Amino acid sequence: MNMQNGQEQNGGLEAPPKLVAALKQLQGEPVFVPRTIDEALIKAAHQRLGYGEKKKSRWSRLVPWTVAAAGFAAAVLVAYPHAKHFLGFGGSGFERSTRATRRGSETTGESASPQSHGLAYVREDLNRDGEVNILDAFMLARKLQNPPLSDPKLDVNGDGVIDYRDVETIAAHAVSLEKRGRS
Amino acid sequence: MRLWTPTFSRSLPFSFRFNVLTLLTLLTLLTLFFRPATLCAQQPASEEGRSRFSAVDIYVDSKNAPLAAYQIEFSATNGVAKIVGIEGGDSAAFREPPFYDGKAIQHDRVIIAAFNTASADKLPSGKTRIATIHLQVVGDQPPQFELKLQVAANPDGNRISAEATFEERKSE
Repeated sequence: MNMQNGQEQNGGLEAPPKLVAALKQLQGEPVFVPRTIDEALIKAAHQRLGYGEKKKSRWSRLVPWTVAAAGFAAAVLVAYPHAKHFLGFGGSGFERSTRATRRGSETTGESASPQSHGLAYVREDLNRDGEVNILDAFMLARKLQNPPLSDPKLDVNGDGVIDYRDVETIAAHAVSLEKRGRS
Repeated sequence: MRLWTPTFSRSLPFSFRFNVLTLLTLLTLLTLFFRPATLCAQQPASEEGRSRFSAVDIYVDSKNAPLAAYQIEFSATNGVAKIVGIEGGDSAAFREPPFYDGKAIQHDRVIIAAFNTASADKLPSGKTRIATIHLQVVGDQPPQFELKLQVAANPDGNRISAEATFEERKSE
């Protein structure tokens, strides 16, 4: 029976007997496929199907775009300073320093005399009238005509020296367009 | 054949991404390169044709008191004038340009202030031109101004009653 089946199978092949015999012999031996080939095939398949790049986050692909866009925005800001208002930024160095000084005065609790009803004044408000204006600068300029001055409160810009630069600091604050409320 | 889809995916060909990045880089460089030219550029011909320059003299009348210090807020209220320059006044005490915020230039509002520590006999009294504000007026509509004297003081630093006025110079 087996023989007949074998004859029938062999009868369907039109190959030399040597080849048939060799092929029959090969079927019994395991075929060795190196692991590297498997990995290469899987990698190629992932690349083809798009699975492999999940490990590389999508964000990593945005990096060059983000850098390019940030560079362009920075260039626009440099070239067109007024664009900062449009982009939501604001404030020059002078404004920032003014605000910082104002904040600093408030946080350091530079309080006024008892006559001031406990109100805190900004450093530039030398005459303690509740507003920084040219009279404060004028007051310091008049005092500078009679040196030496030792009151540290008169060192408005904090450079350790009481001079005309402190007057200019007060005057700059007085005419600043960023001020709020009375001036 | 690959079809392009508008997403950040690998379907963007490398050459396309490269071209966009190159374009952004070129835009950045061009923006920086043409910056000085932009700043120095003249106004468009259409706008230039309709604009003129004007000067507004600012006066303070301190009556009989010597004027040692003042602070004034000036603004153009109908949006047709931009401040382009500020100069001092007639009196020797206020001949130097006053203090003002540089951000006022090319805008319509400014606070000017000045003082002089000289003795009373060297200070002006009465009506004195203390500054002149130069403006660029765009269009045919006449500009409107507003002036507010915030403070004026005598040589002792005490506030005095004074009046501030302005006068637009006649164009020649």
